[in-house]
Amino acid sequence: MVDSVKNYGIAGVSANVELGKGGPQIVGSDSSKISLQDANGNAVVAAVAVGTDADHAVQKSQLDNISQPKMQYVKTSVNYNSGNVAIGTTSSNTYIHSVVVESGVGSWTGADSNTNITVGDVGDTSRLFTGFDPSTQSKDESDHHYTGATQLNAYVTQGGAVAGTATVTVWYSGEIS
Amino acid sequence: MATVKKYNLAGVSANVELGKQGSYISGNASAIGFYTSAGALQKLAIANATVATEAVTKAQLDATAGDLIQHVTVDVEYNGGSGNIATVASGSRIVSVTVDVPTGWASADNTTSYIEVGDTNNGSRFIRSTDIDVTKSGQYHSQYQYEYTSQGTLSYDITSGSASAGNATISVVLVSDSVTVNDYGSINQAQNSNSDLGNISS
Repeated sequence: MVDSVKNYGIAGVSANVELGKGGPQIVGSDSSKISLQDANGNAVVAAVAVGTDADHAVQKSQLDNISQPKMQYVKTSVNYNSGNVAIGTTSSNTYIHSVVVESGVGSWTGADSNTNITVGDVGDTSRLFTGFDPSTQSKDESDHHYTGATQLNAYVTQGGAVAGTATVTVWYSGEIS
Repeated sequence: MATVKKYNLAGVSANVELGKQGSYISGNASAIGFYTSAGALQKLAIANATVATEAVTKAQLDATAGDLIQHVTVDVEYNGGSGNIATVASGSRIVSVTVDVPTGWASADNTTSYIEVGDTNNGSRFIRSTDIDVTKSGQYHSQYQYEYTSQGTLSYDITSGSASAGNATISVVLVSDSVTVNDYGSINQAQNSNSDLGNISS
């Protein structure tokens, strides 16, 4: 086969065009869209420049720049005898803004001064929240910036409690997965 | 028509039609565009981006846009009675409610003139009758959070008592995929009155 041939006069090709032998395809046989697919018909990614106009595709980096500071929350239910409950693992750049803990329906029967829920990590189990009050919704606004992947947990100290549930809500920016 | 494959064909026209009267690809020095046969921009079906320089899909955009923190703000009058603020979708979480009383209500009594904010199941879930003293100018803030497990309707109830004049602005901050605001003719007024907070640029 001769080296590459260029024919700039070709203004029309097949609806589906393969790019190199066994390579990805541009599929235009569906009039409602153009698809970029691999040789097996699976969608492939499209590498693009940073979008600057309204009708440009945007890079994942542009979306990530928007989503990083977005405040969101993750919540976990705990029981009076749950012990340590995993909430999730932070990314290397995650800000914790606040933690809200509220008792579920029903009372914390037998709860005493030793009964508590804290939220934190293995380095400080009450870094983000302590002082659970079964009678009301409690909020701790101690901010913390996690600069490395860190497992967050709720730590339930049963004390005298023999029943009870609570919901732990962690507000953050970044990523908890 | 037989299929022809010319893997050494490395250059074609700047505008290439995909099939007879099909969509086409157009390239210039700064962009490659995908168009319908009529010349309108065409949709492009791709996989989810996984690295920074790849284009993102609508699913990735929707996942980021969902659950954004937003607010609904309404102005109320001392004699406005009750009303609905907005309908929120299941899963919506109320983050806070702020009631701003710009000027103490005239002739009001702080026990018989009051504002409540809640929903159609609990009219004072966020602001109770005793939380706000409408006889005094001030901003009253509830940080009580509540998550709706089914669609809910946020509401307010104004009890005028002896008040003869006065107004307030209720602002609800929430996280939701869907908020349907009921416009009772006062929402634009609230937005205008809060147009400049004065300290953002500094």
